Amino acid sequence: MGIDRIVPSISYRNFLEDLTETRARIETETREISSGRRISVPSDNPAEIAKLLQFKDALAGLDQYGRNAATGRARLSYADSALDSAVNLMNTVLQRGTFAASDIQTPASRRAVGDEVTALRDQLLNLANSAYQGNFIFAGQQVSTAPFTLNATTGVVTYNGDSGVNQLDIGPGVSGGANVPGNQIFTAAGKDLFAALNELITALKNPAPSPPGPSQTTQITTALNSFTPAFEQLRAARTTVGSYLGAMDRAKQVLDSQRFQILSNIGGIEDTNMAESITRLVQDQTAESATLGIGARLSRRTLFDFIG
Amino acid sequence: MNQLFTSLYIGLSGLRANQMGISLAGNNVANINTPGYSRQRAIFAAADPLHIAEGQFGMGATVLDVSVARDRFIEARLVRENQTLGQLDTMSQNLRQIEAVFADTGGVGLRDSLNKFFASFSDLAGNPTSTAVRQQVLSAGNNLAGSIRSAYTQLTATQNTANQDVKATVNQINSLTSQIAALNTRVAQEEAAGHDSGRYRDERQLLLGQLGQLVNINVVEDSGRMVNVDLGGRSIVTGNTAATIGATVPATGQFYQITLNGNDITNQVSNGKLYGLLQVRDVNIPSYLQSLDTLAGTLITQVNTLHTQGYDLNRAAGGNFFTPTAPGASAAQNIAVAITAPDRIAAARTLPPSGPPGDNQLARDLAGLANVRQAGLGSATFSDYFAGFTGRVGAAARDAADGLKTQRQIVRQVQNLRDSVSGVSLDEEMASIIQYQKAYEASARFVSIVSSLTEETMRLLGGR
Repeated sequence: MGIDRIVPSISYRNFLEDLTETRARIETETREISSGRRISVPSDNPAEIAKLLQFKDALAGLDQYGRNAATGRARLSYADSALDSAVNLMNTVLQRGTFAASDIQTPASRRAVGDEVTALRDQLLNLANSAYQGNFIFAGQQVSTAPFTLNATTGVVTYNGDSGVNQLDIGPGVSGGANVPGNQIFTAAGKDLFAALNELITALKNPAPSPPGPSQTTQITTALNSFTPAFEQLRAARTTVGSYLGAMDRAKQVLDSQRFQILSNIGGIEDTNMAESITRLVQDQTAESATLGIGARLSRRTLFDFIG
Repeated sequence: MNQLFTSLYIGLSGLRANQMGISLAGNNVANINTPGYSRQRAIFAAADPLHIAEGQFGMGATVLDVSVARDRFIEARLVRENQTLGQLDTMSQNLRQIEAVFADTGGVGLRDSLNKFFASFSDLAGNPTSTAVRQQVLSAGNNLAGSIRSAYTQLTATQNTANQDVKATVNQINSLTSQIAALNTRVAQEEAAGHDSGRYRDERQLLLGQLGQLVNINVVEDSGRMVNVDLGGRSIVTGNTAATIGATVPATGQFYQITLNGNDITNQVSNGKLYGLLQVRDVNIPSYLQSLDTLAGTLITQVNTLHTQGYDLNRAAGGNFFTPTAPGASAAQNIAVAITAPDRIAAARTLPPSGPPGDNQLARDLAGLANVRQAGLGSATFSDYFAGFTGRVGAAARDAADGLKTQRQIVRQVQNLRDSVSGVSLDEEMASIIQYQKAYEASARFVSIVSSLTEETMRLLGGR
């Protein structure tokens, strides 16, 4: 709109509003550059804000999956090391049992080995009752009660837990087991470690079987042989724990790569394009200086200055 | 002799007319910064001639009229453009304020509370019997309920402020219309002789501009130089009387409605600040409150439905996690966690033969609610719904701000156009002053010459 008669009020108004607009742009650009973000309120980009928030929510979701995987990993690592100790312990039992089965052993030395094995059984019981952060890790879902109890008279160990496996969500639609129930490790049907141990202890401590039957050596050898499936079960359980652990680790890797993808999506929407913003800032600062320069000359001379 | 005396009058008329020209120029300079002032100019004409035997004999100059530089079309346009400016300015301010309630791009506030609430159930699934984790679920639930209630309260507070502003704006309108009516009388008196009344007309125009910022008006000048102002077809200034509009709360309502002579004219308001306030109060905020209610209501129902399917640490069936909303009440205003004891949180779906349940299935299901598309939310998940809602709030704020920016440019252009016609230019006034000054000096010189001629004549007569 061309205006051919310019009066001072027009110049002042234009100057002031141009300056206000330039300063508002400088303020926005400075904020974008200093915060590194070009969206600080929804109206900065209403078209993209919903997408941006969805990405951020997805990121929060991934973080939670990551925390779940870390929780599972910590618990499974603890279980893994308990089972590692159990395997070592069983190797010792086998060693001692094989030693006691030798014909040169006397009933007294066999009884001594029997006491040793009894102590090892009690150690295994402790391992089977391992608790992590107050939760019994081999109790299935019955984490509040000790899963294995020993009858001090008979030596029989009973399982009080259940067969429950708690799953943890470790990715969108992905879950992983966080525990292996004790009855699948120590007291599986036909593969009961404690029963095998008790059989061995009985064989070691009973030199003259009555009614007459197989010799003590035979009894010890039989007991040692019956260990094999139970020991296999323990090793298999450890493999299961290892595979659960692997799932947790893989989940973390997948989450990290998904996280990277989402972060780059978020950055694309939210991050300031520094080169562009700085260029615009420099342009507007130049414009501001020029506007101010013009403003300083607004009280330009009028005819009054020349005629006195 | 006769001619000499007549010449004195001619010189005198020149002095008078040019003096008036100088005064008007001086007055223009003095008013250069007066808002709404329109520059004035003396219109000179030759005085009525004397008819003598030889023909007509000029009798000097006279100021026929004082013309005021104004373009009524541009002035009317300024009043109109001010209406949209007033509306967008108010809406932009209010929506910016509302937007701040949901400006949760950083990670504090409602959206964050929502994420943390579902995450707390996921943590619970990792450790379903831990009292500490259960306590965190409770505090995450309380935080979420608090965030929703707080958003609701902030929205209703903004709504109430807008409502109070409606009342204040109505008072401003009444004050302006009564001033305009009073000025109508002055303008009519001053302009009875047909001249532009200058300052009264300027002042009235300025007030009409201010009134336009407040509410949609239509201005018609009658033959008696008075303006009649109507608001959506309802007359609010007629000649020298202004009708008082009212802001009254109806018996069945909560907010002010606009009344004129006892009739509700709220629907006649269609522009200006008043319309902006009504839009924010009656359209924008209610729609946001409704969305919050939908979100809170769906959340309460869905969480409770799942939670009551499980078992708590005491083996008891899970109760309501959130207090169910009473029929007719606002879910967002009243949302609260019903549980206070951590062991009352149900995390398990199955009950073991004895002891506390250690199963985490229900906690997983509750955490999984975050990813479930809810029919009640238009098949969106909770967080998608809230993200969409935030986008809507942002878009409204952006539209108003963009519109305001454009309208400011338009108003600035029209103001410049008006000033281009009516504004005072110092160069022009200085040129006029010099012009009048020279003419005044010449007229004075002329009077002095005539005077000396007269003296000479008297001397000659006396000497005889």
